[in-house]
Order: sequence, then C-alpha cells, then structure tokens
Amino acid sequence: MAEIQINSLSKSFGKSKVIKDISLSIQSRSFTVIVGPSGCGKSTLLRMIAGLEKIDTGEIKIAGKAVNDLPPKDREIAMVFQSYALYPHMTVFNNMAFGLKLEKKSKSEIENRVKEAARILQIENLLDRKPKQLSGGQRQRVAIGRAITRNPKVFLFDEPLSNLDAALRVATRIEIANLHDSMPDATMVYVTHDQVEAMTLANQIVVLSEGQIEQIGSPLELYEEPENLFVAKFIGSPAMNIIPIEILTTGINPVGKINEKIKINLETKFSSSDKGRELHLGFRPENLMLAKTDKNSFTASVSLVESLGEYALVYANIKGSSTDHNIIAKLLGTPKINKGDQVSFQIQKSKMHLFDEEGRRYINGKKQV
Amino acid sequence: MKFKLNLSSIFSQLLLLFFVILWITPTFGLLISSFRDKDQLAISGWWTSLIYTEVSEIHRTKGKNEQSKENEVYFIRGNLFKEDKGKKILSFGVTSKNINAYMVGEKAVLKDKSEIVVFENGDYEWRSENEFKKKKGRRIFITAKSPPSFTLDNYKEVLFEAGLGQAFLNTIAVALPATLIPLIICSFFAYSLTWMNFFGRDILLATIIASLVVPLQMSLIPILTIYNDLGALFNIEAKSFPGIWMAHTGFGLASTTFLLWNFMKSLPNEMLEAAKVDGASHYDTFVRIVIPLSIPAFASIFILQFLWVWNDLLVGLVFLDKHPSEIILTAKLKELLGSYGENWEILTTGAFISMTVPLFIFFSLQRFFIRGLVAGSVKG
Repeated sequence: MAEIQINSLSKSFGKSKVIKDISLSIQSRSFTVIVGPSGCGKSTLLRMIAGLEKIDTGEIKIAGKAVNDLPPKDREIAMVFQSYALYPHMTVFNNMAFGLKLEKKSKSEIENRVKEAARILQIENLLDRKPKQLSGGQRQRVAIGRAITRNPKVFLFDEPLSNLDAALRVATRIEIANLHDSMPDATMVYVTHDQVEAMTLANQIVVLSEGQIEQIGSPLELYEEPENLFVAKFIGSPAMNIIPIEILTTGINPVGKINEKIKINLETKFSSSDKGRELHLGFRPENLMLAKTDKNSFTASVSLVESLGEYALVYANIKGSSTDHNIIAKLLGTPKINKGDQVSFQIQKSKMHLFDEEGRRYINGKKQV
Repeated sequence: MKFKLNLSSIFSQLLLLFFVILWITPTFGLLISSFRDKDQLAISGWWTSLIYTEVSEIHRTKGKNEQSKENEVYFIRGNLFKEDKGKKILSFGVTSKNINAYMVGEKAVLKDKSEIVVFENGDYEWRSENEFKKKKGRRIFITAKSPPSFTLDNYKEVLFEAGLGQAFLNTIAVALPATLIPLIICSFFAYSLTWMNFFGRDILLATIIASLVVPLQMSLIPILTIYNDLGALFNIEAKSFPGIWMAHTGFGLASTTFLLWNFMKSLPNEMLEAAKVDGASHYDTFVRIVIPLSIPAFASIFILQFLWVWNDLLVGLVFLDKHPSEIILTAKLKELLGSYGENWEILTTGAFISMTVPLFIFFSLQRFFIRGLVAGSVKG
C-alpha cells in the first residue's frame, strides 16, 4: 500500500533544467511506466524517487510520508538498474542477501526470503554462481531478485530490459508483468524509452518530454486520444502520419484541403471562425486503406514497400501545397503494390486526429479531457 | 595451438626477448658474482667463472727432508696442489722471469743440472745426481686451467659477520609498516574522494595531485626539524622507527591516494548506488564492496610503495641512526662497501640479499593481479 505523490518537482544539473515542475500521482498497486525519448529526464525522475538524486524544489511523498530528506534505504523502495549493478565478488545468494544482511535479519529468515525470491524467478540453481558466470538475462533476474528479497513497497525499474537482446527482452517483459501479478501489493514504477514495453506493461503511462509531462493515461487512452503531437508521434509504431490541412469549409460537412487537388471530408465540428486555419491532420498507418471509391480518397506515389507477410508497410508521398508529405500505410496481407505506383488511399472513418497550431489536440464541441 | 606468425608479432616477441635479456643478464651476473671467491672476483668478470679459466699460481716443492735415493739418483716427488681442486696445469716455469717456459711433461733443466718434470694433475718429479741441500723447496710457477668454483663464504660473511642480517631485519621493520599504514589511510581517503560529496573535495584532490610534483628532498630537512622539536617536547628521540614510518607514510600519501582514487573511480557507479538502495552505509559499501574489488590495486600499490621504501637510502639515513639496531640495509651496504668501493664481494652479495625480498613480494602478490574482477557486475 504505497501511493507516490509528486508535487511540483524541479531539478537542474548546473544550468540545464532536467525536471521542470512535475506533479504526478502514482496509485498504490499500479504499474506506472514513465516513457520518453532519451534525455527527457525520466531516469532522473526515477532516481529522485529512489533518493539517489537530490531534489531541488518540490516534494515527493511515498505512502503519505514526505521522503525528500530520507536516504534510499528508509524509503521502502528497491531499484533494478539498467546495467544490473550486481556485486561481482559475491555469489548470487549473497547478492540477493546483501540488503537483508545489512538489516541484520536472522540467518534463517535471510535464507527463506532469498530462496523464495529465487523460486519466483526460477534461479534456484544459480545461487552459488558468481555474476560473471551468468548470461545477461540471468543477471537481470538476479538484480530483480535482489529487489524482491527486501520486500519493498515500491519497485523502481530503470530501463531493465535495454541491455538484453530482442528475444530475451520479450521473455523478461512477460516475467516482469507476471511479477506484478504475483505481488499485487507492490507499486511499480518503470522507466523506459521503448513504447512497446510501456504499452504492454503499464496500467498508467506517463509520457515525458524535455522534463515535462506530456500526457498521463492508460495505454489505450494514449493511443486513441493523444493530447498533443508529441504523444501522437511517440506512441505507436510506425508513428502516426501527420500532414498539415487547411480548413476550407465549416458547418455540417466540413472540408479540409491538403493540396490543390486533395480535399477530404472531416468529421469534426468546427466553429465558423476556424475557416482558413492551418491544422495538423493525424492518422495512424493502420487506419489507412486502399480506396474503394473515389469519394474522399487521395492519391500518393509509392516510394517503398516493405512486405512482412502478415502486413505490408507502404511508404508513399503526397504533394502538399508547399512541400511533399511522407506517409506510411500499414496494409494487411500482401497488397499488390509496387514502388512507383500511384495508389489511392482512404482514411478510416472516425480515426482522424486533429491538432491545432501549437500541437495540442483540437478542441471544439468534441468530447475532451 | 595455432601460432599466428606475422611481422608485428615476431617483432614484439623479439623486442620482449631483448628486454628480458637486458634485465636478466646483470641480475644473473650479480648472482654468480655473489658466489665467487673474492680474489677471483677482483681480477676477472663473472662470465669467466662459468667455464675453465686460466690461472697463474706459485707453488713450492718439498725440501731436502723429503728426498729419496734410487740407484744413486736423488728424487723429490709430490703434488703441487695441497688439495685437489681439479685444476689442469698447462705449462710451468722455474723462474719468475719466464713462468711459461716449459710445457707440461717437459723436462726443465736447472742450473745445478737437476731436472724437474711437472705433470698435468700437479704431480712433479725433481731428479738430481747430487743430494739436495736446500731445506726449502723450489718455487714453481704454473699456468693452469681452473674449473668453476663457487663458495658460500660471501653470504656467511655478509649475513653473520658484517651485520647485514640485523640491517635486513631493520629494513623489514621499516618497510612493512611504512607500506601498510599509507595503504590503509589512503584507501579510506580515496573512497571519500571518489564517492562522498563534501565541501572542498575537488580542491583537496587538486592539492594532492599538485603535491605529487614536490620532490621529497625538499621537505626532508624541514620535517626532520619538526620531528626534533616535537620529540624534544615529549622527551623522545626523534630518530626512531615510528618517525620513519610517519615520514614514509607522508611521502607516499599523495601517490598512493592518487592511484587508489584513480582505480576506485573506475568502479561502476550503479553498483555503489545499488548498495546504497540496499541500505549500505558508506562504511558498509567501503568494507564489503569497494575493498574486495580493489585488491588488484592494493597489490600493485603495495609493491610500488614497498619497493620504494625497501630501496630507499636517503630517508633512512636522515630519519634513523646508524646504530646496528636501527641501520637499514641500503645504508649498511654503503657502509660496508668501504670508501674506495673495493669490497666487491660484499656489494654483490648484499645487493642480492636485498633483491630477494622485493622479488618474493612481487611473485607472492602476483596472483592478486586478476583481470576483470569487476566482470559480471554491469553489462560489459
């Protein structure tokens, strides 16, 4: 039972502000993933929760208690580091028992807790080995085991999978998800730059960019209703297509103009003052389909086709009013499209996202957060 | 096993061989010389002692009391060598003017018509028609090939008679504490410089690095003066073992701290943070994690500091008396060498004795130079 409350937190290294006035509430028992491109301050935020980084201004509360001035060991947290950070001269058992030994727990208790953690992570047969005799995945499991034995209220993960190879990453990701299920009382905070990890693990995602929170929400909320261009481009792979669009007519059947030839019907309600505004139209690659009718379609010339069997990624470009716009379409199966073809596309109904000039989600009449 | 033969590897092997020979040769020479007879040492190089060498010696035959008479001819027979050392005589002479006058087995005819024959193994026969009159025998000059001969006399002399044994113990009494004390102090110091944040840390570090360039000789006398004053205050003699321990500790502090700091800095940051999260205090981290992982650094710094102290003469001369109970090995060797540098056998033997300890230290600590002790902690 430990919720984390972060109130207007700031941090700078020298002159560069890394965390800019962040407020965030992390529910008890939740699995919160902090995601963002490298250098966005996500690791710093995690290290501030852990107590490894000093807080400049603001406050962090864990389980209702302000922890600003508490050392890491008194915050009832455990952390799993990106580089495993095992103690190389100790056996796996001693690595996992280190924290308990420092707490002066009895020998039998230490043994029980280490054995229990080893059982959960299936590393019972590795307990006598040294870290250098382990593979990368095993090392990361030991690092997780070290966190489990201390039975903390909050688990902090700092990009724990980024050093593993692709296959192992998927397997370990599933293990971490299972770990959260098997320890329902623990609050987990997980930092990653990989949006797939964020989407699969989290029940709450915090998107961070340049020290500021862009959006907080469940994975599907972020996917379906990105609040701004940054989140729209960051979540989803391949990224959402964004092209500028000029509002030609408002009213019952609003029309937007991409270039002189391409005009498409929009479903958003606009106010009459929006006429002539330059907005951004976003649509996900999988929401593009080959046009069955001429109505509401646009033509693009294909520059590359990546056929993956299950689906094909079609890279194409549309002539814009000033520059060309590259778009990606994700088409199921193996469409008969070749490089250089002129293909007619349609955007799936109600899957269009509109963003205003500042990059915020366009709000007018439509339900908004 | 497959050997890759390319030009650069051959070159580096040859270079290695060259340096090995360059280093081994004088050491080997020193070893051989220390076992040689001191008279031979003075006249010929050590390399000559490995093979038969030509020596010129003077021996005397027996006198008239030993003569025997056979068929009206008088003989004196015997062997020139008192004890058989395996020498082989090549030639001999009967006057000092011409010591190589006769080959072995040749008859030398003397003025009084008597004849002397000398054989290879030193046997001689002196034949005369007339009775021998002289009580003393005749001088015979020989040139002989002498086999290699080695002796432990030098070691006996140096260790037990010249007092080098005591000096040896004194040096150990100086070197061990003077190595261990700075190592202990500096490991704490280096840890705090590396992993603790405190006011003035960078300035302190800069000062240490700066003090590396101050030559020891500059501070020698001021420090001795301070010691004297302090000693007088407490009525203790300034020149004593604790004094020299402190002196060596002080002189070694900067370099030892710098080297350890440099090593500890390379330990993975996240590992120490993990310890912090695990609840380890700075002391726990230091004792349970940093020290075990710093053993290779400790071993190499131990060797450096120990060698420095062991081979030191200046500090030992300044901070210790020349009593037999305090004098260190280097000072004693210098004393034994004599003002003209003539006692070579003492120099070579003493040098070799003083070399054994550093060699022993080096080889016994070698197993601590484990590569990749930190392997497995973080992604490599």
